[in-house]
Amino acid sequence: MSLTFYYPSGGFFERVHPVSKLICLMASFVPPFLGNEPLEVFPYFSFLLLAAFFAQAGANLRRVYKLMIILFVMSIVLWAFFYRGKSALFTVGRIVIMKESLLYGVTTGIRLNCFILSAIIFLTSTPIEDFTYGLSKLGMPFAASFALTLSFRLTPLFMETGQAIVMAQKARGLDLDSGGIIKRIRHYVPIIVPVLVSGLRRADQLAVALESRGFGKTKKRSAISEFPITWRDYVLISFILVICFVMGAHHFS
Amino acid sequence: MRELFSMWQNTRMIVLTAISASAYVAVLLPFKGFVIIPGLTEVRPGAAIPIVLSFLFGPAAAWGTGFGNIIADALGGMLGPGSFFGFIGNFFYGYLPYALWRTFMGDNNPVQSGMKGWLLFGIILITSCLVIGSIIGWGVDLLRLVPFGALGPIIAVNNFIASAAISTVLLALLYGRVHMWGLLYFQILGERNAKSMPFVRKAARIGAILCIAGAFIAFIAGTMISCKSLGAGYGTAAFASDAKGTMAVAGGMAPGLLLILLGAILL
Repeated sequence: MSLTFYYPSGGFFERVHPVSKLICLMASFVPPFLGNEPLEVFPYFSFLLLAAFFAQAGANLRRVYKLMIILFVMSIVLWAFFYRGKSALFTVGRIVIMKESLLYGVTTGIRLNCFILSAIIFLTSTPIEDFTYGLSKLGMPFAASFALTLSFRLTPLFMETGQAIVMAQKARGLDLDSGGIIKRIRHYVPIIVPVLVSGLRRADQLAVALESRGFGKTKKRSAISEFPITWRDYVLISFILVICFVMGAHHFS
Repeated sequence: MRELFSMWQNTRMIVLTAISASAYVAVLLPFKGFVIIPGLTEVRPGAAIPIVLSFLFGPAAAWGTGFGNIIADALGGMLGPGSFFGFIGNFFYGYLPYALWRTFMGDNNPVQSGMKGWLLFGIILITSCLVIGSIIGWGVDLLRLVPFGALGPIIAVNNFIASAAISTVLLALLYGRVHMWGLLYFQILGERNAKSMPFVRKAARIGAILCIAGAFIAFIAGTMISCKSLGAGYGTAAFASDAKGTMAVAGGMAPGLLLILLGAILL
């Protein structure tokens, strides 16, 4: 299974300019805040769910659906304790569950799931290079966007190293699942140290390799991929803005 | 704080930023140390990594920890408005340990500094964990997504348990080796010249005290307001417009968070 969510489908969302996708991702976080009750947020959630299937993100949704359910349930439970309501609905032992708290918990649960759906649509249709390209076009300095790209690239390597070390240490008798909380965490020391040391060995070589290719010498950089702005960008941005406007008008009216 | 920006001129520091981010994610995501409530709270050994990396790589670890949080969110499908506060909180979690240590102990080895060093190390751990809990908890509470009273303490306590359990062991095993390879941040960025000036040193000490005080004020105020132990009046007094809702938490924590920010600038 791939570590990232990207699925090259060649579909509508994938062909949108990375900057437009980032703008739409940020704009897509606004509508859930414009609904105060479950019924006001749920239509947007349904719309995002449809959009996720349109973006061929079904396989990725299967990866996160448990997380979505847990977040929804935890939101209801947490807000039942922390949100003050007026009308008592029922009691669980000594705890009185208020109607307003329950409704707020459900609304926030749907809201959180809207964010996950937006992120899944974005991550399914956007390779890491396009993500960092978009960030750099939005003003992120080149060195920082380069570091972010490099981090994304190195993460699977580090994880692979980590898994290999876990297996090697388990073969030597390391038991990660026994003992109390502190003991169990301390069992990870023989894993973390080799992971960090192997990473540091790469650091010096990487820096030399980068400098020998003239990294950081030129201020104006060219990009290997250029993305044209097409009708898809206008359609997507207009669409999300219309949703924001409609929900905003309903919210403030 | 200047080195946070000047480090981007140095290729080794850029690479160390990427390595810090990747190492953080690679240890944080797959290794679950101790699950307390499934899906909500678990103590992960990876939470100790930023503290260790901060002492080793300084500003590179600060940026790396922030980026690591973004990557973890992207790989977990959790990229959302909370990711912004996740970035800021983790950035401070990676920034404060080395900055506070350097202010009082200079370039001394953190695992060979005697009782004074251990005491400072403990204060740094507590402060950093309170700061990350306060910033992320404050942010998501401001967005009215998760109450501070639940998330802030969970983040702070979990990070503290993991850091207290293994950060000293990891530092003892890694510090000498990294020093030998010449990859410690002050070896790469050069000896501290500005910090030797008396007024800069004094400002840094004031900054450190502000950060420590701010961390405690923000965290205690946030927890008490969120759990309704402290009257909403405190939130109102602290510029909150709606003291009945979560704005009370946001407003009540604001003075503490401002102290942290001001302190971090002076460090």
